[in-house]
Parts: sequence; structure tokens; C-alpha cells
Amino acid sequence: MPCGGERCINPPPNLPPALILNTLSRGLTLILAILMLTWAYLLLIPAPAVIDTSNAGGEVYFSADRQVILNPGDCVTLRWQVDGIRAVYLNDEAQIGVGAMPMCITSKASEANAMPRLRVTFQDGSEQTYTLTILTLATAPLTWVIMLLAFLLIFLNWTQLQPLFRRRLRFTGFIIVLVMIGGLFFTYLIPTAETIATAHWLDAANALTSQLTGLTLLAVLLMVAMNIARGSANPTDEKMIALLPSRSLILTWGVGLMLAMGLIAGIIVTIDALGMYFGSPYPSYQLLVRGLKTDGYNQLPEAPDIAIMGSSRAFTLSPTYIHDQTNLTAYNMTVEGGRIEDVLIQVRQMRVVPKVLFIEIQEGLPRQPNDIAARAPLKWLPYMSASTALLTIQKRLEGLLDMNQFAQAIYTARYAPIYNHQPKEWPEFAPDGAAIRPPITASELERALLVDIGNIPAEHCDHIDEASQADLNTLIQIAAEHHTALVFYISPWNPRYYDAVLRDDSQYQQCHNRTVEYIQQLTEAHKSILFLDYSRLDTIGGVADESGYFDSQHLTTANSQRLLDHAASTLDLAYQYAAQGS
Amino acid sequence: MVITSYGFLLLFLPITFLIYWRIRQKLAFLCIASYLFYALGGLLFVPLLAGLSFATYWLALRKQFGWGIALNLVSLVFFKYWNFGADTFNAIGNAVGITALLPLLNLALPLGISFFVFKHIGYLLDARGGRFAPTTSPLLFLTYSAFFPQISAGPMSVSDDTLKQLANLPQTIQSDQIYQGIIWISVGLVKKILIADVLNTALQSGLFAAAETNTGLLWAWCSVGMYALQLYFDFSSYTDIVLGVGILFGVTLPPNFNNPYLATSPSDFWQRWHISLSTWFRFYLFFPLSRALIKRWGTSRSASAQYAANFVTMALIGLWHGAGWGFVLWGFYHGLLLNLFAWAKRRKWQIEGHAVMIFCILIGWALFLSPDLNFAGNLFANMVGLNGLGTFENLLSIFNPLVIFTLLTAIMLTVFGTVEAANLPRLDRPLFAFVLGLLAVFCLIHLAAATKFIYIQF
Repeated sequence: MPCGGERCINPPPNLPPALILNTLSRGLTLILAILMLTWAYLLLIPAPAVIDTSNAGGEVYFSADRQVILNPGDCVTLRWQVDGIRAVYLNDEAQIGVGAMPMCITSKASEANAMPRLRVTFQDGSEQTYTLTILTLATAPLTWVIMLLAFLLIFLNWTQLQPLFRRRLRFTGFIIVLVMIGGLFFTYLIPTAETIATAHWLDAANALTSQLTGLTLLAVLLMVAMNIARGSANPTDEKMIALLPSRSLILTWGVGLMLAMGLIAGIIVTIDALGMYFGSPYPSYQLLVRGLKTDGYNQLPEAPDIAIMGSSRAFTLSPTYIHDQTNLTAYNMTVEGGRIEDVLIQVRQMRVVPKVLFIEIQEGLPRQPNDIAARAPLKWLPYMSASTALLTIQKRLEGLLDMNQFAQAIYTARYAPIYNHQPKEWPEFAPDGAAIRPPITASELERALLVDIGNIPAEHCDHIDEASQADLNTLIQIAAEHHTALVFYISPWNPRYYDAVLRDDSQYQQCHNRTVEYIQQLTEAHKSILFLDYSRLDTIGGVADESGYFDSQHLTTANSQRLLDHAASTLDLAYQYAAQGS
Repeated sequence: MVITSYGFLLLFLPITFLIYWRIRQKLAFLCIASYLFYALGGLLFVPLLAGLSFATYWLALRKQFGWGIALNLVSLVFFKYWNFGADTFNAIGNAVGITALLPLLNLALPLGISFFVFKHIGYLLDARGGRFAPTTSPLLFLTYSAFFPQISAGPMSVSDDTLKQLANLPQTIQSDQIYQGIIWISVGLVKKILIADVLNTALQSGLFAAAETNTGLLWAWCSVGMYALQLYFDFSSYTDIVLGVGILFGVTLPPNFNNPYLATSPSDFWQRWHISLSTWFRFYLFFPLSRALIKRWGTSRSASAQYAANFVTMALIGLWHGAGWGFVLWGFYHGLLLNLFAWAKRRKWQIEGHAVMIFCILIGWALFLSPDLNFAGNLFANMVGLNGLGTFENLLSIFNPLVIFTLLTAIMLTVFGTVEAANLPRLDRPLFAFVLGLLAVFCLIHLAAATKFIYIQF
């Protein structure tokens, strides 16, 4: 009925109760939503661990994979690690220092001895008991309050919900969606949460990515359920376009969008799990070798005579061994995926340029600006070429809205300080920059070789990359200014890989020959440039088994030493030449 | 440029939108933006698009419609079908003892060629039929031809309608249009990232590979069923985004889907699936061809004329999708279905129904998804149970709970007829708007891993 003039001066008598009911209903819905979110949060976020390093010399770490169980009798996995102590007891049973054990929580939280307890006797004889509190949801007051509120809301909205119950298809659909929501939560999200809590870093971060996808699907299902429950099931009845009080809706959409974007970008930058931005107090998921090596070089008390540069193929070239052989000091500045462009950027950052740059190169002198863009610290930006700098900025901006980085950031913030799960996929580096890699077995080499044979194609090149040539010319210029000699070398391939992939590949052979010719031309034009072609293993007298190779191309310390035995005289010559020049 | 890239969603779209509604020369700006969009996907074929568009415009003005159609068809055949034709021709030659008659060319397929060529042909046929006078504005035609939301994969709009809209672009936009546009884009992204791509991952990681071998009936039907949903959600999400973008620029593009899996007969299906394409073929090929055949064969054989026209039209629809015998067979199969249902209807046999139609559609998709005839043969052998039922354990290894719930969500939305953004009820609540904003960001952070839209390759 139209409302206007005097008829609307007095509101209809039934308005106040309806208004009160409506407000009450909205308020209760909000409370219910908050309680349900808390309930879900408790289930999805595993328990924080007990970490105690306050006792003299003793370190205690004690955790459970869940802080909430659904029903009495459900089990959790307990983990502990104690160092510098005299004895440790889990639920009064003596244990060794590190372990994991399931425990089923059968009693109520209020009962004594119901919760997991770790009793530790420290070296000084003092004793402390650490208890984890596991909540049983089925008996928790929170669950009952949620159920009560849900029933109350159904009662309050009975009139609005009646059409739902009357239409059989709609009601069935509603129930199916509710079952799907429950199913998704209990069969996917909770198990994924357990994986996140217990898996190794990368697996855990991947599981977190899946969990975020699952949570989004849950949000979509909730929207579908709400639409079925409150809206029309017949789309032709009320099309969206007919119901648009649009300005405020656009604003609400924009608020949701900006809030989520700001939150995600903020978390990614603040936690900086990949070390792509400005650093953070958390351990970085990837080891930033580029930053590490450049800083390491510039922090040396005295500039070395030789800087070893190039890719991970030269990781194990030992400066100590070079010193033993030649009496020259050295530092290993090699970085993963390092190319001529990396060398140039590193040299530009050197406080003092050394007498000799010992540079590992690849056939065709290919460029990999993507590697630099993804892995170089931001402080490298001023030293990059314009195109690589732009690419780096683009990658970092894209990274602000990247699912994997987001998942890794959340995981890092939540678990890294507790579990200390940093991956060990990269070798550790000695103070002189050389990589320390544990030896591998024959079967591990076999596996790695097969993977490389299947996945690493031979380098083909019609010509030497022009941009690399330009970088090389700049490098030669800088070297000349500093009276620095350049020694280029091609690292040997594992003969088994060479025979399987490279030997009969005419395009690779052509590419290799072009590279050799090009570098030899440089050696003829510049007396300060020397070149060693070690692409064949026999040129250094190396071995192809696990004592010589980690895979198709990465040398062990033994083969690296053989290579350096051959290169020592050339390095010495280069140094003499540079010393004379200066 | 891909419409689900960061570059498009976070830079190109907002910047062009803001500039577009601030300047008066909207058509010129739209033309520049469209060519820029096309150029950002690769400069190589910009001259082809511009040249073909201008030639079509010029030949239409000169009333040289036949030449215009021929030019467009030659371009399409050359870029899209040359190798397929040459291969087939050479195979036939080989069979009779002549080798390498026609060379195979290393040709890249220009983005959206099937769509803009068909737009041109539709325009020329409309102009020839006197439905409207060819436009005298080259700017209008170039914009119509390259209009960026629809250049990659349609929807193909009727010339008259879109040309009229482009000729009379509004100078202001209403807030409800903006809301509708952004919501449709958000819904499209959610469907693409959350449903189509999750199903695609499961398909690629095991189901497709296994369907090629002798893995049994369960596996094969699951593969085809999931593919049906993935294809639908993938293409309809693309359409939602395109329609949303169109609305943001004041142009209403035609819908492409209307709950196709709720169809009860093949003709019903083709009025619901890829509507713009089927409308194009119905309007510009099926009707003229039927009329011509009836004229030639007489009204007493009108049923035969319809059957023949159905076969030809559907085979060409199949061929339009790609240069492969799988697509041609898929087209023929749908021609056969149309004729079978029409024949039954004439005899008043009741064979129409949801279940029958879903079964028929799935058989069709088995042909459609097969890269070659061997694959199709193996898949059908599995589907009819020649390799047994297959093991349930293997199936479960692919169907992790996330895939299962995504699949169930896709089925629910399909059954309730709420897949297309245009058919969604009541997204006008602030809570929905807020959640859709959040979901849009979730999709944005997933964009790096998003797969290409299936229909862009056509």
C-alpha cells in the first residue's frame, strides 16, 4: 500500500515488534557467525607449541598437531624435542630426547592427568612440567551456544524460512549444500590443517594453498546456501539487475576487494617468506644466494685475489683449495642460475674488484633475467640493466598478489618459529663462499641423472646472445679499468649425460663451437682474457660416478679439485698478468 | 592479451575504463584500446585484423559482398585449415601413390580469427540481405570488428545490434551498470579459478591420461563428465567476464549460455549452448540452406531438406572449432542427434528428456575432447565397458576431497540453473557484494596458475 501524507504519521501498530525481532535476529546472526568462525578457527589452526629456553642450558619444545578434537576419544600426535636436560617423561613415561607419539584424549579437560604432559628434569636437578590443553568440541560450551543460537534463529525467522520448507527441490538443495559444507570442512579442511602442522615446509605451504582454495569454496557454498534459504530459487523471479541499490553495493564490493588485497599484500611484504622484498625477522623460504654472496664478498676484511663467478656448476670450487695450490686468496661468488649478467651486476657492486675473475660460462652465453628478477635482492636493482630491473619490479609487484607466496607467508609466520622447518634444498655455504654438500649415493646419482636426461635439453643457439655480448663487453671494460684478468671456463658435463643428450646433437655441438670460437676471439683481442674449455670430463681427468658428480653437471668437491688442479697454472698466469698490469 | 591476466584486470581494464568515461571521443578510444589489446597479445597479426576489417568495410560499401566473404574465408582457411587440408589431401594422395602434394606450413593461429572472420561474414551477409545499410564510418566498423572484450573468443554478436550500440555509445554510466559489470566479472573469475581450473587439474593429472589406456568404464565416464562441467564452467566464466567488461563500456553483448545441461533435446541444447555461434549458423547457414533445398527438392521433401541442412550446419560448426576430424565427427554426431530427435518427433515418439540428453551430450564431448581418432576409439571402448569396470581405488586417487566437492558444487549450480552470472538470483545484498570482493581477490592471487580458456584456441 502506498505510504504518504498523514497516513504515515503514526506507524502501523505491528512495526515495533517486527523491528525489534529483525534487529534481534540480525544481532544474533552476527554473534552466531563470529562464534562459528571461532569454532572453525580452533579446529583449523593447530595448537601452538610450548617452547622453553629459559632454563639453564636446557631447550624444550613440546607440541600437539591439534588443539581441538571433535569428540572425546579422538587422538592427537604429540611431538617433543629436548636438549641439554637430564631426563624427560611424557605422561610419566620416560622418553628419549626427540620423539612423536599419539595420545587419545578420553577424559574431560578438568580431570587431572587428562591432558598431555611433558615433565623435564634439567641438568641442575630442577624439574618442570609442561601441559598442553586440548579442547573437546562436542562437550565444549561453545558448541552448545552455537547450536542454541542456531535454533533460536530458526525460530525467529520461521516465517521467512517457511517457503524454503514448502518447496521440496529448494529444501533438498539446501540440505545437500549444508551436507557439502560439513563434508568439505571435516573431510578436507581439517585433514589439510593436520598436514600443514606436521608436513615439511614446502608440502605444508602447498597444503595451505589447497586449504585456502577449500576455504574459498566453502565461502561460495555458504553463499549458495544463503541464496537458496533466503532468496528465490527461480532466477527469472528476481534477476540481479532488478534489485540494485548500486552505489553502496559497489562500495561494499570495493571495500571487500581492497581489504583483502591490502591484507594479502601486507602479509606477503611483512613476512617476506621468499626474501623478495625488504627482509623480515622470519627465516626466508628460499636461500638468497645472490644477496648472501655479494654481502659476503664485500664484508671480507681484504679483497681476495680471485673471485669465482658463474652458476651453481661452480658452487663447489673451493677457495681454500685454490689457495693451497696457488697461494692466492679467493672467494666463491657463484649463484644459482648465474649468467654473465649476474657476473656484471656482482662486479658493479664489488667494493674492490679482485685481480682475477674466474668465470664459469655456458654454451651460447644464454641470459636468464627471470632468475635475477625472482631471486635477486632489491638492492641489486640499481646495478641491473633497465629491462631486467623492470622485469624485477614487475615480478615483485605480481608477487604481492601471489597465492603461493601468501600461503608461504602465513605458514612462515605461524609455524616457522615453532617447527624451524626451513628447507635444506640448497647447500650450506662456507665463509669463503664454497658450497658444502653432503655426498650422495650411487642410486641417488642415478635418479638425478635420469631426471636431468629427461628434463634438461641441450642448449641450442644460432648465435651468441647479443645482450650477453654487450654485458661481456662492459665486463671487459670494467676489468680493464681495474687491471683485472678474466679467466672463462666451461664446466664439464657428466659423460653419461653428455653421451645421452649432447654428443649426437649437432645443434648443441654447433652452439658449443660458436661459444668457444667467440671466447677465443676475445682472448686473441685481449691479453688479459684466458679461456679453458673443460666441457668434456676427460679434460680434467675427472670421474663420472657419485664421487665426482651430484647429477648431470654439478661437480663434487673431488671433481672440483681436479678441475682446479688443471686451472691452477692458468689462474696463476692471469694473476701475474694482472699484477704486472697494475 | 588474456582477460584473466594481471595486466588486463589490474591495469588495462581499470585504466581504459577511467579514461573512457572521461572523454567524449568514446568510439575512437574504444578502437585504439581494442587494437592495443590485440597488439599486446602479439603484434604479428595486427595488420591481418586491420587489413581484413578495412577490406570488409570497403567491399561492403562497394557492394562487393561475395568478394568480401571470399576474402575472409580464404584468410580463415589459410591460417586455420591449411595444414589440416594439406595433410588430408596428401594422405589421399599417398593412398593412390602420389607423395607430398601440398606443403605443410608452420603457421601460428591468429588470436580470435574464427570470431572476427565470422563477424565480418555475418556483417556482409546482413548487408547483402538488405537488413541494414553498410556503415560509412570506417572507425565504427574497425571498432566493431576488433571490440576488445569479444575479440578473443566471442560472443559473436549480431552485426546490426552491436553496430547500433557502438554508434550510439552512452556518454555516462549508471552505478547499477558498474555494479553489474564488476559482479559479473567477479563471478566469472570465481567460476574459472575455483571450479573450472580445479576440475582441469584433476583431469590433466590423471583422468585424461588414464582414459587413453584401458582403465575401464568408471574412469572413462568420470573423465568425460568432468570434462563436460569443466568446459561449461570455463567457457561460461569467460562469457561472464566478457559480458561484464562489455557492460562497463556501455555495450551489452549477447549471452552465450542458458543452462545447456538442462536441455531436453538437441535443438533445445543448441539454443542454450554457445548461443551466439549456433545463432550465427542458424541464421546465416541453416535457414538459407533449408530454403534453398526445399526450393530445389520441393515441399514434399522438406523433412529431407531439414535433415541435410542439419548435417551440413553441424559438421561446419564442428569444423569451426578446429582443424581435426574429432571436431568434424562431433559436428556430424550432433547433426545425427538433431535429425534423430526430429524424426522421432514427427512420429510422435517421446524420447526427449534430461537424462537422455545428458547421455547424448556426454557421448558428444567424448568425441570433442579427443585429440585424434585413436584416442576417441580407446575412450569409447572404455565407455562401453570393453575394458571392464575399472578399479574404484584408482579413481579415488584422482578424486581428492577438494575435487569431489568442487565437482558437487558444479553439479549443484548446474542443476539449479545458477551457473551463468545473468541467471544468478539476488546478489544485491551487501554481504554478497563484500564476499564477492573477497573472492575476486582470491581469484586474483590465483591468476598466475590460471589455465588458458579452452575456447580461445578455437
